[in-house]
Amino acid sequence: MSVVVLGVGCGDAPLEEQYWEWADLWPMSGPYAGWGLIWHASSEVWAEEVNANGGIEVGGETYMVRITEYDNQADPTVALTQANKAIYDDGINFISSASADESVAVNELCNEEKVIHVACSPGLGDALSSDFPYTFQTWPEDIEAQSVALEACKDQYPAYTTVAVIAPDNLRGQEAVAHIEEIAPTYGFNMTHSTYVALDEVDFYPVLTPIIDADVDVLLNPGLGYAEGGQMVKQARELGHNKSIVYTDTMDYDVVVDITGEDALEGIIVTPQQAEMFTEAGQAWAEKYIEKYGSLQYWASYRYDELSLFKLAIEEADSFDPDDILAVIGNVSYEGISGETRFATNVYSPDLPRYMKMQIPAVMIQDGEMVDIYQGYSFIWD
Amino acid sequence: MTAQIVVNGLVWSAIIALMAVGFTLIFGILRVVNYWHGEAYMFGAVAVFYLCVVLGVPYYLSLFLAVLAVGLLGWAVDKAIFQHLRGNLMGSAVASLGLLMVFQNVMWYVLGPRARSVPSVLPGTLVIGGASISAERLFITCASFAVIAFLYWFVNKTTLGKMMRAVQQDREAALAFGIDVDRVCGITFGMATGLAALAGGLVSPIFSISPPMGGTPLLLALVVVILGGMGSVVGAIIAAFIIGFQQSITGIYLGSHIGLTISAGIALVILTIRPRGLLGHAA
Repeated sequence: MSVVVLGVGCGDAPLEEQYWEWADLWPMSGPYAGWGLIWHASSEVWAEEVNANGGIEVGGETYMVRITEYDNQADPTVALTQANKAIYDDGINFISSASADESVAVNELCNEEKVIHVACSPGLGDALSSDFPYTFQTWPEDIEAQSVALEACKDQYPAYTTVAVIAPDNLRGQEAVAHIEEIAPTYGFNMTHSTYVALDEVDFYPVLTPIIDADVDVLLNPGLGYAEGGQMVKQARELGHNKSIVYTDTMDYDVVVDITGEDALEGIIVTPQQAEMFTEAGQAWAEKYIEKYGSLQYWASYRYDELSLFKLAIEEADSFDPDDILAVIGNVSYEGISGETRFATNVYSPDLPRYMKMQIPAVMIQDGEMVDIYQGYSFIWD
Repeated sequence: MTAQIVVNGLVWSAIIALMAVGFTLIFGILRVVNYWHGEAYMFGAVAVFYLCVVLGVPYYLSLFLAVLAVGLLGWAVDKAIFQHLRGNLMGSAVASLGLLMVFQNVMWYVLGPRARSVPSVLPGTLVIGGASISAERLFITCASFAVIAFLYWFVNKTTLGKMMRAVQQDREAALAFGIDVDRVCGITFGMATGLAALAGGLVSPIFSISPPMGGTPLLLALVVVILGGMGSVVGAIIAAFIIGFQQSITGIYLGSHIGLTISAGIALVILTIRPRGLLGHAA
């Protein structure tokens, strides 16, 4: 059970607090700890806010929210072990996972045990199908962000026609290259170069040399780590690339600008970012998030919105039972901090609303500020 | 593009050479396999970050202090652990792997999940013979080769250097001649660790700083030491050039992800057909 009751003794009048518990099954240590810690901070902001406002009312009772960390170390085997612990030892039946490999590893177990499994990852494929009704996806597909980024880039730089992709050497990177080669002509580009680098690459001079030599217009980073992406930008500028650079994944601006300096980032286009931080709700979240994490990571707002959607569904169902929640999840929507948010169908889950519809804006860095230049959307969702 | 290949290759050769020379000194003199060497590289970069960025100490002074501090740490680690494992290749390999994991995970908690960086010390890019190179990379290359040249002189011409070579050639004979082998080994470990810290500190303004950053340099250093011959300083320097240029060429023509695989392939071939490497001694 994900609902636990704790007694807090105080003289003869014990106070009882009831909790609704959610497991954050993410990398909290090791090279990919950044992802888990960034998202977990957003979970904590959400939980503190809900608890400060009196918790969740279900069946006439009040429940506080508790988010528990389970470190999957970005390892599918560890992820499965930790999911077993969360489900069987700790009785939790709401789990968030990250990254396709770790998400797929725990997906079958979660569905067998009727545990709601929310995967913050693109590329789930069949793991999101109707065979796995307890699974949700709350991260845009890469091809959606790539399309938005290329369209925004063409909008800003109509004369540019050539693209070079520098991708991480993993399944996601290889899919990115295939996607971009396929969709680039739609937006008036031709992918002239594609190259793979190690996930922890630090020296981009060798791979950049032929690209700079060919005077390619756009360098596209479809998912290098923040620091690695920053090094790519810095070194490309050192080698003389003064045209466009596009990120089709997230970018930790503070990390990257420390590496590159502000000048090197001028004109860079980034997506997906949450440009709705200018809303009142978004700014309130951003302030609390910075206080908790230290710097603003826009995409962590997805996590806040996803939890808010489930809270709405729980209140609508008046139950913590996953089956009751699934019955109503398609009916709830709200204006979240990352835009209008709801679960919808998509090509991978055509029958069940399991894919979180999201805005995918593109921003451009101008004078050290992120300027909203283009509003994209999730187009696979229905 | 040829000029750029040469420039790219020289930079990596210099960095790997610093790492590999230290690794091979430890192996040759202490008979210890030290996988913790990559952590010394990382500590050098982290120490420069804290001194330079957090405390505001000038970069070059930070670099000096970082080398000194990590060198002392290396000396202490030798006294605490490796002193008891000299000549025990398997034991030292396992112990150093354990140290690697402990120190790396501790550093995740110290540094946090964000990669760190040191601001540019020498901004600007130079064009030499049609090849672009940042001023920082040029400085790293020159400084590394200068230090290696000094080390070569030190090992061959000074009394302590001669003692180190004596211990490497015959530990028992060195003892018989009154050489304080433990002291020589401790100094060697500290010096080698300091070299790795120097490499890490030098690259801190051009590469990102994070706990696992020592992994690739360690692997390349290992390949270089196998290729050059375990324990051979000159072999390590020659092999560093070979692997540095191999990294540059494969990076340009095949993608950098292939580079490490080919380096590992070279090590496998050498271990198969010439286990003592280019300049190593026959077992």
